[in-house]
Formats: sequence, structure tokens, C-alpha cells
Amino acid sequence: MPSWTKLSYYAAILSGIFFFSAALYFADKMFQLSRQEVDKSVPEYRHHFVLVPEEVDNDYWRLVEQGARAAARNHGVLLEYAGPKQANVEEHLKRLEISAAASVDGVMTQGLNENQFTPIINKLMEKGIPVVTVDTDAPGSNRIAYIGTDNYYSGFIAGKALLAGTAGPTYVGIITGGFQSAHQQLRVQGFKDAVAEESRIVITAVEESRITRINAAEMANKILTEHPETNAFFGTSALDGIGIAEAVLQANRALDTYIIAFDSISETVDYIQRGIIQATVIQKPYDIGYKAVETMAAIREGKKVPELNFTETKVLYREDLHSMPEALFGGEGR
Amino acid sequence: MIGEYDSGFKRFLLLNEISQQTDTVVEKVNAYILEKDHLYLEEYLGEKEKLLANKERLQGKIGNHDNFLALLNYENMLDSFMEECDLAISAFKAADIHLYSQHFNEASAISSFIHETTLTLIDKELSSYQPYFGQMTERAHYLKMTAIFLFSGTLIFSALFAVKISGGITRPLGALSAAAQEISSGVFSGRDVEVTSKDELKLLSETFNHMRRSIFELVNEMKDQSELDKLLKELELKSLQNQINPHFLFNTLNNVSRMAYLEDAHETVKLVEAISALLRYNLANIDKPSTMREETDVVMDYFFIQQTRFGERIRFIADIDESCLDVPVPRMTLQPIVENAFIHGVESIEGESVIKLSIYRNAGGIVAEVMDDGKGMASQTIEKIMKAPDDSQRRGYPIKKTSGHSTGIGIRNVIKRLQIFYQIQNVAEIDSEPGKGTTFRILIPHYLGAEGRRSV
Repeated sequence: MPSWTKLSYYAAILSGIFFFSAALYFADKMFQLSRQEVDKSVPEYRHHFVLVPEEVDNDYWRLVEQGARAAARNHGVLLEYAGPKQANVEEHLKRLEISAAASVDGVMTQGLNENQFTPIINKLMEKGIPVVTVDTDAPGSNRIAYIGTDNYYSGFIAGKALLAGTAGPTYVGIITGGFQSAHQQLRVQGFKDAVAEESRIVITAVEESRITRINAAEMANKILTEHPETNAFFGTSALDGIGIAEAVLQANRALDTYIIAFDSISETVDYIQRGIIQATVIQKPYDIGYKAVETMAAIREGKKVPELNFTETKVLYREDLHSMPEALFGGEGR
Repeated sequence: MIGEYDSGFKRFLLLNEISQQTDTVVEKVNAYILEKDHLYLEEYLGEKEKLLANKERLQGKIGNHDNFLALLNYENMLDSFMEECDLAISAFKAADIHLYSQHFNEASAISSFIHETTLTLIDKELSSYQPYFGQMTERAHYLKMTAIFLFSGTLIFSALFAVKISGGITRPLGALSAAAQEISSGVFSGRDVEVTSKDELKLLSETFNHMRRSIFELVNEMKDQSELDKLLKELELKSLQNQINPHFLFNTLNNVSRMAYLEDAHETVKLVEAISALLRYNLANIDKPSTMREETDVVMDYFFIQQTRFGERIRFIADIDESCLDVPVPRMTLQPIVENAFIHGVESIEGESVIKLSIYRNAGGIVAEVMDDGKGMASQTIEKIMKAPDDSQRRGYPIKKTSGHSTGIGIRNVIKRLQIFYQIQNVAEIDSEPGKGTTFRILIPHYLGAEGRRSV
């Protein structure tokens, strides 16, 4: 069978050629792989600012970050967004210390409570690092400016909303983010001042959620148990409204309880849709972030800036939801 | 890739070293403040130098797009750290206790930040290694595939080469062994083995071909030889038959000869002596070569005997060139021819006849010619005589009963022996015509000269 031998001979040559080209193909792939290099490029920037939030992975603060990043792009700023993974004053302060040690060009942070934050803010200022406070002011410190909501005002308009939304004797439970936080205190104070003139409004209790939803629910439940007459709630930080709504739903008191929340994260918006939360005080976190970086850049360029820069705040009702711009919502980009 | 791994490891080491150096620096500052020993200050400065040098290496070695920010902070922290250390030292020198403890605490705090940031950087390095590691694995996979395919390809091609090269060796070997088998089965006349390559195999096959040809020739020669042996055996057998009792015959002939002498019958004496000589020559070993002279003598004796029988009816003429008589010839060649002339040529003829024996030299050599004017032969008969030996030798020589022959050696036997003896085909020729007589010539090639070729 000479044709068979010939055939297998050609088959062998063909497969040999195939194997060699396969080897070449893989070798080529291999070399192409090794050509991928690390990006050694270094971004160009004029200023290096740090934004230290209360909690890094928080819907509200993510919005602030977005605004800050947008402003950073426009002003040639290298923005560092760093802070505690979960709300923790110790870590927050340490972050600021680190920023001081790292000699950044500017620090933007909250003045969560005067006693603990004033020294470090002053220390930064001494080292020549300008500080602006965002979201929460520390007026007693040497900070150059404050950018954010007028917290007292935001509490005040919440109180006004409660007055408008209720009739007859109303017993109000307040859940606040933290007794130590200046901005929370201001909100509570504003609320109290707004309702003080009306004697039908009684504040039954003020409890602290320490910015967790579970605590908020627990405290709301506690108020409902200890003061069963309570028929209105005000939550002064973003997660408080949700916690209150959960506790109220669980106690089957949703129909006769008037709830005012704070901020517009997606769950809060959901509860407003369902009519469980009646109103919420909204801030403009994106604006806060944007303005903070803008202000800081102006400071670095030696311009004079106003000390207090309030961003818009208002009360949002269910009927406002459809006309609300998306950027106001937190959560997953709603 | 390996280089990347290596440099990555070096970066870890660098980061670790820096982190440890900050500790050492703090220790030295602390030691200096506590012990107030100048030696510690020196050591502190030395450590600080090293730390600075390492810091210089940082950006070039580690910096990339992802960890840029952390690295920037890290470097600034190192600066702050050293600044605080210097401040602590100078405050200590100025004996400002409050200030130096504050700066020292600051330095320790920064050193702890540095540790932390070191970990962060290492963390970032590690996570930036994730894709690298993936790439490595992929690359290793591709390398493996490349190696496998390269190996397989090489294997196949080398197998092909091996087959081709070994084929170049085994094919001629196969042809050679086939030819050898042919030879062992007795066929020597096959075609030559052809080898195209120019190596030892070519030499081998050429030698083989040559050997085969030689064997072929030798075998043919051997066949000739054995045939000759057979013919000689036949002659011996015949002569043995005649040799019933040669001593008795010789003694008797002697007695006859002496008796004839005593009786003064001289013709009878001569006749008996001729018979005796003829008999002796005839009985001698037929293997031994003879000369033309001896052959001629025998012919003369024979003729003398025949003369007594036929008397004047047959005349014998001998025309012999004496110089030709020393040429070697096989024994019993000339006599059978003459006898043939008697028996088939002239015996049955009434009236006078002539038989002439002439030996002479011509251009081709020596010619022994026996001529008679007897009844001659038809050309078919001549052809039969000339060609027949070839056929009869294959089939075995038929021994015919020939009446009246003195030796019983036929013409064909003579021709065959002559052919073998001189190794040529053309040794005899016959001219004859029915009724006019026959001329038989033995042609001895000239170049043989006086010395014979081989014994017969």
C-alpha cells in the first residue's frame, strides 16, 4: 500500500507544521502578555486635598464625594477620600492626624463634636494646612470656613413641617445620630425651637442611634414602649427615619404616627412612597462636596472666602417625589 | 515576569525596611534623650541618612498610578517624621522639656502611622499583584502549550527524518538481502542491485554485484569442468572395457612378434609392433595432455595397420610440417578423426581412395587437416556433428554402439574436448560434399604456442 505510506507521510508533515504554528501562536500570545506594563503615570495636580467623612461607605457621603470629585476635576485637585469604614470618632481623628503628618494641602472634614475636633483642627491650621468643615461645623475651632446645611435651620423647618402636618396633642419622639455630634445637636435644637411655641407639641424622649439602623429601630421601639402616647417621630440623621419606620410598622402604629426623616436615601424614599414616612428634610450633599473643594481651592489660591456657606435644605413630601431631580437621591444612583 | 516578581519582592523589603528604620530612629532619639550619650546622636543621624536614602528610592521603585496617593502621603509622613525627630532633638538640646516630649510623642505617633501606611502600601502592592499573578498563570499556561506543541512538532519531524534516513539504509539493504536470497536459491543471473546514495552502501552493493558476476562465471566454468570430467569418465569406462587383460594381450602380442621374427615374417613383426604401440597409447592415462608428435605417431601406426588390411586400395599421404609437432593437444584427438575417415569415408568405397593428413601453419595458428575422397557427408550431418555436442552435453551423452572403431571415441567427443582444452568454440571445421569426400580440420589457436593451457 504505497498510497497509505505516502498519505501518512503527508499527514505527519501537515501535523508537524500545525504543531509548529500552534507553538508560534502560543509563543506570540505569551509575548503579547508580557508587553502589558504597569501604569506608572502620575496624575498632575495643583493641590492635594483630603476629604474625611464620618463614614466612608455611606450613601450620603458618597454623594458628597461625587460632588467633591467633580469640583476636583475642574480645579486640578488631587482628592483623597478617606475615613473610618464605620462611624468611629477615634478613627476619624486618627485620619486627621495622618493627614497632618502627610502634609496635605487641605483638609475637609466634619466638626463632629467641638471638644475632640477643635484641637486637631487647630493643629492642622498651625501646621499650615487649611481646614474647612463640611456637613457639620466646629465654630469654636480655627477652621477657615464651613460648607453645608444650616443644621439648626434644617431642624427648624422639620419642626415647622410637623406643626403643619399635625393637629391636636402631639407627642414627639426624637432619634438623633449622636448626642456628641454638633450638627445633630443643632438639628434637635432647631426642631425644639420651632415647636416650642405650640403647647400641643410635647417631646417625649430624645434617643441616640449612633448612626446605625438597628439602633434607630431599637430606640424607636424603646420610646414607643416607654411612652406609648408617642404619635410622631423625628429622625435627625439619614438612617434614623428607616429605623423609626421599621419599629412603627412592627408595633402596628403606622397609621397614627407622623414621621419626619432626614436625607433622601433610597429606603427613606420608599417609605415616603408607601406613606409610612410623611416627610423628610433633604440636604444637597453633592453641592456640599462640590462647594467644599471649590472653597478649599480658593483658599489655596489666596482668595478670601466667606466663613459660612450654607447649602440648600428643605422639606420633601410624597407629592414632591416625581419632580425631584435624581441627583438628590442617595443609594444606587436613584 | 520573574524579574517583575523579584522586583516586587524587593519593594516589599524596601517598605518593610523603611518601616523598621522609623522604629530604629525613634529608639535612637529615645535613647539619646534618656542616656544623653552623644553616641546615640551619631547613630540617629546615621539611621536618618539611611532612611532618607530609602525614601529617595521609593517613588522610582514603587510609584504607579494606583498607589500614587498613598505613596505621596507616605513620603510626606516620612518628612514630617524626620522633622519631628529633629525638632525633638533640638528642643532637647535647648532643654525645653515640654517641647521635646511633645515632638517626641508626635514622632512616635507618626511612626505608627507610617507602619500603618506601610501595611496599606503592601496591601496595595499585593492587590496590584492579583492581575500580575493572573497574567503569570496565563503566561505559564501559554508557555506550557508552546512547549507541548513545539515538542510534538519536533518529535514528528524528527520521526520523519529518522524514517527517511533509515529508509535510505534499509531499502538498499533489503534489495541486497533479496539478491542474496536469489543467489542462495541458485539464481546468479539476476539484475544488479542499484544504490543511488554515495556511501558505504554503494560500495557494498557494487562489491556485491561484482561478487555475483564472479560467482556466475565461476559456476559456469565449474559446469564446463564437470562436463569434461564426465566425458573423460566415459572414455575411461570404454578403455576399461577394452582393457580386459592388457598384460595378457601385450604378452601374447610379444609372443606373436617374436614368433614372427623367428619365422622371418618381418611384415608381421612390424604389424604386431604397430598394434602394440597403438594399444599402449590408447591404454595410457587419457588425462595426460599429449603433443601433436605423439598423436601423429599413433596415426601412423594406425595407418600401417589399416594398410595391411586394405592393401593398395587406400593410399595414405602425410604432409607434415615438423615445426608444428610440439604443440600440445589432448590425447586421442587425431586418431579418432582419421579412423572416422576410414570408416565413414573410404571403407565402403570400391576402388582406390586417398586419405591425406596434413599439419601446417597458417595465419590463425596450426591446422591439422584430415582429408579423404570418400563418400562425403550431407550438410545436415555436418551440422549435426558440429552443433550436437551442445545438446548432448545437457542431456547426457548417448553412448552408441559403433562397430569397427578402435577406440570408440566419437567426433563429437573430440570436438568437445578440444573446445574445453583450448577454451574456444571454433576448434574444428568440416568441409564435405556427398560423393566427393570430406575435409576435417582441427584449428589450434596460434597464441597458444608450444605450451598448453591446461591438462586434459
